[in-house]
Amino acid sequence: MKHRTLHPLAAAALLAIAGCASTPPPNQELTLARAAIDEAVQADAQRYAPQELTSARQNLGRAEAAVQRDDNLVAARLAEQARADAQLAAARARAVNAEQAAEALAQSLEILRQETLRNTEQQ
Amino acid sequence: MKNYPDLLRSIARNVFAGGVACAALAAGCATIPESNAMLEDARAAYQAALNDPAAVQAAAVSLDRAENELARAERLLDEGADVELVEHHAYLARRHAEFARERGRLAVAEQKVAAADAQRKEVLLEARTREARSAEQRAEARGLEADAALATAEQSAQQAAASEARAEQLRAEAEQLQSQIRELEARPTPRGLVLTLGDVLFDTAEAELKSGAERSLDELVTFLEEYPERNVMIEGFTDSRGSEDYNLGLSERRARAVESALVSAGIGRGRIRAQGFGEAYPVASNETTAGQQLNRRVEIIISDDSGQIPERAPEAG
Repeated sequence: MKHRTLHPLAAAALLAIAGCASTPPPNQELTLARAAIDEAVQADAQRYAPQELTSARQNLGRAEAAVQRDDNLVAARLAEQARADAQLAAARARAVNAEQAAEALAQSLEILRQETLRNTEQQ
Repeated sequence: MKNYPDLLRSIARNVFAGGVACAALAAGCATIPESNAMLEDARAAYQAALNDPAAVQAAAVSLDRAENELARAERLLDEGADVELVEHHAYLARRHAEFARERGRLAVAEQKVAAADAQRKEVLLEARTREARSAEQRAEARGLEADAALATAEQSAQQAAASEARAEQLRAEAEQLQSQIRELEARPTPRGLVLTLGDVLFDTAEAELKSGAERSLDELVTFLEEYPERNVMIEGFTDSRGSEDYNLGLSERRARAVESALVSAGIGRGRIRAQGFGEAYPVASNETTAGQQLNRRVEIIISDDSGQIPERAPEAG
């Protein structure tokens, strides 16, 4: 009886080990990461979120290197991290951009307010 | 082949041991928290995002992802999984949490941008309202100025009317004076009004006023009572008959007699001066009886309002 029953965890571990050897390159993850980086660049992340963009590129580079040495599991993780970095970079760039726009608007609003006040006083 | 089940058993045992180790670690968790720097960072980032209302509102999905990754990382850590795997999920958890916060920032900034347009309209509306109000105030100020001008004009008109009334009163008073002067039969001269009393008031060579002569002075008394600022000079004259000294004395006495009569009638002595000039200053020829009669006279000079009476100019020649 003991011989027949395989511990479920043991089976899972076996499968994982077996899978490891034959994991294909994480092409989809890599594509998504590259697209996310492109999007971040479009959002001006180079200027407003350079650290996050750099992380994204470094992680993508490491992922590609991992693919080269057939370490596809690590490559998939790194590609996923690169994508998360790039998404954060794009979001931060957009937020900073919008904050600057809001600040500029607030300033022009203040100028407008002062001008209209001055005009009224002059009359 | 026979080894295979053994191998499996061995693996199972190891896995079981790992589970026990995990359980031991989990038990340890209750007292000593698991220590992994990246997981700590992820927890802090997730907590910060949860405390950020903008992030909670704008990025619920990202927060869910962060929560799931965090839970997974913690579970893997509890299970004693590969540190790299734990850190992978911790990293993703932190990134999702940070992403949520950036989405919150973006939403807040976008709300500000959207609000700016409304505020711009509000500022312009306020400006127009202020302009309208200030125009209204200017109009009101002009209205008040006009009212003030009208009031001033009315006041001026009233003053003019009052002045006119006063002028009218003065005219009436002047007319009254004139009529009274006419009644006195006084005639205006450069020295003032001159009232001439003929010699009929006196007996020949006498300085006593005839009885009833006071009545002739009544009008003068009335006039002086009415115009207390006016003073009188009483001057007596004679014709050229008789000695000069006698005539001087007689004219003096007659002037004094008139003065006494006025004082008796209640006119203040300070208002009256009396002087005799004798036969000087004749008003007619002493060659004729009629002329002599005209020269025998008492002249009463009534001052103007100032009370002053110029002295009689020295007789020519």
